[in-house]
Amino acid sequence: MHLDGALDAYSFPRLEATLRGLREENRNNVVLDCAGLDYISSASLGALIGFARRARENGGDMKLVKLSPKIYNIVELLGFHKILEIYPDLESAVKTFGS
Amino acid sequence: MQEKAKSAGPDRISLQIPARYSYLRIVRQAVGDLCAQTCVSEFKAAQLEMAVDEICAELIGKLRPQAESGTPSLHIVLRREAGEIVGEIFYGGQKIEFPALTEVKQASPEDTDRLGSYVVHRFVDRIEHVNDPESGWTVRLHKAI
Repeated sequence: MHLDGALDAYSFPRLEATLRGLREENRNNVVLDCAGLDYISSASLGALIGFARRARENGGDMKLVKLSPKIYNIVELLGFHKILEIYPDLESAVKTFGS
Repeated sequence: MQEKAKSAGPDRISLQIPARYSYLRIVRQAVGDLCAQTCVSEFKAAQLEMAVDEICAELIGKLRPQAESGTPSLHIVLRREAGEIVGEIFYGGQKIEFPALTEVKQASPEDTDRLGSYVVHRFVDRIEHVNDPESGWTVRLHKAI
């Protein structure tokens, strides 16, 4: 799944709806391509963390790839790099599913 | 929306926005612009951007139900002072409370219900919430640079 632009309060309802759709379809292995992401709010991070946790309970996971240095720095400073799995590219993220 | 021309000085940006989430990107842009003009690092700029966005988003969420008619507004002033960037968010009406403004103790990253408070306290050095008879309520964020 590709994320583009900003995940903020304005786009949050769309993010929630998308994650809800993934849950309803029982899609527990998700890779988020963040190459186009230029902002992420705390609520959006919370939603991604919540999804990742539920996915792990169901034997899957959510992985983030291609975070910009700016976004990665934010995620790291907040300590979320210990909660969310982050990879430089799609291939390295996909390899870890099921491992 | 009103935006003061840069001739007001490169160390200050003032804007007034309708209290709508769709305007948050403009606020973030203003923070980024001021930081770029005042040579703040990209990473510190991103932190301040996030803190200001969090505060504005909370205020917008709470102002709109309060408004009796029309769309309320936020007036935001960003300025560089000695050794810090100050972000002021002015709003009218009743005092608005939310965790980022009232909690002294920082939430943890595990507490996903209080992430907004955690982010604001993590990324700014001081938060004030003051009242002025002329300008109403002000949330003031201070970030050392």
